[in-house]
Amino acid sequence: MTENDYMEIQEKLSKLFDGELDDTQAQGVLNEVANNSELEALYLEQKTLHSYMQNPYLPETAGLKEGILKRIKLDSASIRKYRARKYILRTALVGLVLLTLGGGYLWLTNNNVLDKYTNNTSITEVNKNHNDDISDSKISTTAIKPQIPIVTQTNLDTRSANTLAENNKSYSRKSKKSNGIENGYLAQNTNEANSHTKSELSAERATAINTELSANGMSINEAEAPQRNLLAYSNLFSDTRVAREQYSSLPKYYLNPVYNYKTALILDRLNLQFNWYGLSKSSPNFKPENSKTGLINDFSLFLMYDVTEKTSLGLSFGYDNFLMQYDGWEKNTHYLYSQEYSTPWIGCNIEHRFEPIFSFADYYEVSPFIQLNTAYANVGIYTQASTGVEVEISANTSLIVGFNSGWLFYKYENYEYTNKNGLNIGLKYGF
Amino acid sequence: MNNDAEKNINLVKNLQSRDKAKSRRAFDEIYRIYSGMILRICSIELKNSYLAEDVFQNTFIQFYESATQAKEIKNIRNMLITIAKNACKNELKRNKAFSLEDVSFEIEDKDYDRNEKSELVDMAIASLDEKYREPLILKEFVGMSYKDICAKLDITEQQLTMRLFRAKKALAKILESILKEL
Repeated sequence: MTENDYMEIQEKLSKLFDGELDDTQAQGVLNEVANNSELEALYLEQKTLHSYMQNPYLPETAGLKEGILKRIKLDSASIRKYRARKYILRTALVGLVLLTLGGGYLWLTNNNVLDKYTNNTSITEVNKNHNDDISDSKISTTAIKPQIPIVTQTNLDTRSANTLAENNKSYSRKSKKSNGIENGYLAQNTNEANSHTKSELSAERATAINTELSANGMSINEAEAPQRNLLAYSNLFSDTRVAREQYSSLPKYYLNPVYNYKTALILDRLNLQFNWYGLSKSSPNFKPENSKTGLINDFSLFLMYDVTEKTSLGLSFGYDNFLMQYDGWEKNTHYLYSQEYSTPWIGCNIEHRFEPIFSFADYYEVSPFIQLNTAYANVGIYTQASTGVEVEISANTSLIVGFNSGWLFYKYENYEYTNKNGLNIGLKYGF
Repeated sequence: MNNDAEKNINLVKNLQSRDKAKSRRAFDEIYRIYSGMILRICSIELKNSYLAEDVFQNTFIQFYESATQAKEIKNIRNMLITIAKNACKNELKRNKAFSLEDVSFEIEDKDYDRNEKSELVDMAIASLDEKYREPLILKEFVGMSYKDICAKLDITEQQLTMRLFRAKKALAKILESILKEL
């Protein structure tokens, strides 16, 4: 091997460790190395040198990184400050969205649009069933039949159909008398109703319907409006007058959540949280017939203010679907009234967050929380308790995952309640 | 567009984001990929760990400030190396006491562990003439191809091959005692 050849092989050996030779060239160099002890020693020397150069021996640079992050204001503290810094524009935008949502919701409710999709689903069908037969004469003589879609009856007694019809009339009449369309709910005192005779019931029923129609400037034959009034315990959930009264009495800050917030300091502490509740187990529990509950059921919107770093107080608003049931005896007949009921509610809530149990990406934290909510619904008090975790998913947005338990207390006979336990998922946005 | 170029664009885009959390994530990724390489280059160029750490930090700070203002960054790695080398040069100009000419380098007669040997290799590289040191750093620590190094240093591939060969030969001579321990 000439000196030039030897030099050329050495250069190729250098290139071999630099990864600049293709397979054929590499194989040729390795063959030369295998047949020449001097080249073999050189090969081992280059290999050792290469391995030392590739050895990342320098210590971890975490400490150096912290210094850099502080200088460029990307350290955890700076990011928290950034996250805490609120932008007026964002606030205004979210406020606008809230107003639009709230306004839209009120419009939908006042115009009875929402009820068609989410409220007691039997109303439409009931109207349909009765449209053909409504007249003065029939109203005065026709017994109100128990086959109301929203109400399922199980006659456990072996008595005649007449007895059953009579009891049903009594129940309906009582509803109308005690609460009219404003409180025509399952929660009625049936004992009072039992004291009325058939004729009394028919007469009062007709009078009530005529009065109602007159108030609306309609005659008894003008189709649909009267039929709603025939159904005492479905009316109260669908009557738009009730809804209007409720919403007109709402405080201003409900209509405009940022109404009283004058300073940026206050804005800084505001959070908006949207929750959706699902997979719930209800008590009482039954499968409603013809249920048409919409997607917008079972949600809530919280506007919260951080009174401390860990505790928030807020206003709450939501719309929930409940299953209700009356199980009892009337004149030796066993009745089982089941009802699906959707209602808006408004109230206040308190949330406490605990120390983070986990953090990821250096600054995103996972914190447990508990939340209590008390609200006023159309038929009574609604209370909710939630617990779970808040997972930060961006600088000012958190994902809420947890368990939720809610009780709707209402008056029927004695006090009753409906309970729902399930999961809740939500998004929390910090302004 | 290859994956590296696409990743490069995404990292820069996220780094420039107004969302500081997103910017931080991009910075973390860039730091994870390039910090070791940059610190080693600084250590070799300056031969002083304290100075190297200062320059290393300034390199990333300057990089972030430049990146957030630049419209386009074609290659994060090249930008970091350029900043680091310029910073090292400026540091050496400012502080003559740490110039390479004054570095004394000798291998003691003792057992070195692997990391200590790597440090000796770096010191040996630092003692090389810049003509040989620079292509060796770009090849070994930055991982650039011959083609890219030629383009960066504006030399032919033959010249580069020769420089790298001579650089390694010189290193082997300096580090003879520890390389023969195998």
